[in-house]
Amino acid sequence: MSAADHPWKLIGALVVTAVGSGFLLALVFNWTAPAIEAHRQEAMRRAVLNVVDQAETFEAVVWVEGAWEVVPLDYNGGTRLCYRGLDSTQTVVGYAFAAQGPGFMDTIKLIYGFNPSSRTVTGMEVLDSRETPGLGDKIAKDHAFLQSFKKLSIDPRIIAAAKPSSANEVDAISGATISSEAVVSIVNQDLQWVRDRFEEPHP
Amino acid sequence: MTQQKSFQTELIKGLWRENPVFVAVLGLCPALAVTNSLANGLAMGLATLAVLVGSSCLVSGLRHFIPKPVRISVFILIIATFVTAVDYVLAATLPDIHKELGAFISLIVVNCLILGRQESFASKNPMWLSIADAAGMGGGFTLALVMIGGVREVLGSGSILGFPLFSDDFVPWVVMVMPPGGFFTMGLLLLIMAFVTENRRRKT
Repeated sequence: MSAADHPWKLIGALVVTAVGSGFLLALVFNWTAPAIEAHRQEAMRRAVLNVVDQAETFEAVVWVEGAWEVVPLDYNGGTRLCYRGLDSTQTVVGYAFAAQGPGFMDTIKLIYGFNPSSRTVTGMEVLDSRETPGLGDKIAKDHAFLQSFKKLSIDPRIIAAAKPSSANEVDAISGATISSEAVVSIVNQDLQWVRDRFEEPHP
Repeated sequence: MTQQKSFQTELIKGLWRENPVFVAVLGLCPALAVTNSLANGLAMGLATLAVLVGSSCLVSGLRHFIPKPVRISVFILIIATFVTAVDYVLAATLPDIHKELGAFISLIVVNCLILGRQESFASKNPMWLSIADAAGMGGGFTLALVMIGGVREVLGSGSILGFPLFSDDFVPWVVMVMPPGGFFTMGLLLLIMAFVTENRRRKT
């Protein structure tokens, strides 16, 4: 080992590079974070209006002590943030819930609309996924699959089927069965929480 | 081959004669995976170009200070930094393209083209030559991705940059935007490249 390759020099070189990288990334992160957050909120806004049938505007709500309470859109108070769609006469037309769960590759984040009076899912949009490109990532764009989430009955539970025949069945994507089923199971899981909120209180 | 290295020759070699995709056959994973449309190919190419130029510039500038035994680790750290920066900038400026490219942006870190240029060029040559080399190689990579993406989009979606090219009775070859289409297009372009090169060699 030559003098130039003394271990301290090697460690020093790595530490200096790592610290420099960290510093640079902190700068870039600070600089881009506001724009990324704005894009995220805009995507969320479009998603809510897309999954809640007939919604013109929406408001953010949280479930507090047995009732929905309107909160500011940038609410960050620990209670689960949900969205409520309103039509042009300010009547509530449905709710939207963001949910996430394990997919084939990584966590799938999605949002779905729910109409409590007809007990149906009114739409679903994938917000973020890392599913296999060309196969699993179709859950975000496959027309038939997304279409089958409109007017989808939640009773007794949602099922992914190759050839949907009843009101609670989703058109599973061929070649992306696991990802399709993952989406369905995320929605089913989340509906357990949602159901309780809209169940008539037992006497 | 001991010809004098000049800015121009280093810049131009990557575009055609030593094209990273068609001649060196490097960086095939992104070249096949994200080129289902011209815009995606272009965005991926430009992101790689930015990372390559940034890393080559820094590696070349620091080449006398990087101890040999840890050089690869330092290169990877530098490359990963630029990739993450490009990831953030892309998410902030072009969210749709960023969503489309997804995980492949982070995977630029392991594109052997980039590490290869650091090891074989930037760590041995002055900064301005390294920038020329990186710009040329990145440009050649972008050119290749645009060509593959263009062919696949025209055949697979019947459009170019999202604008429809044919009348409504054109049935898109869906296979071309799926993974096999990447291999078909790649093979086709390699064949054309080999044909042109062979023809040229015979004439001289």
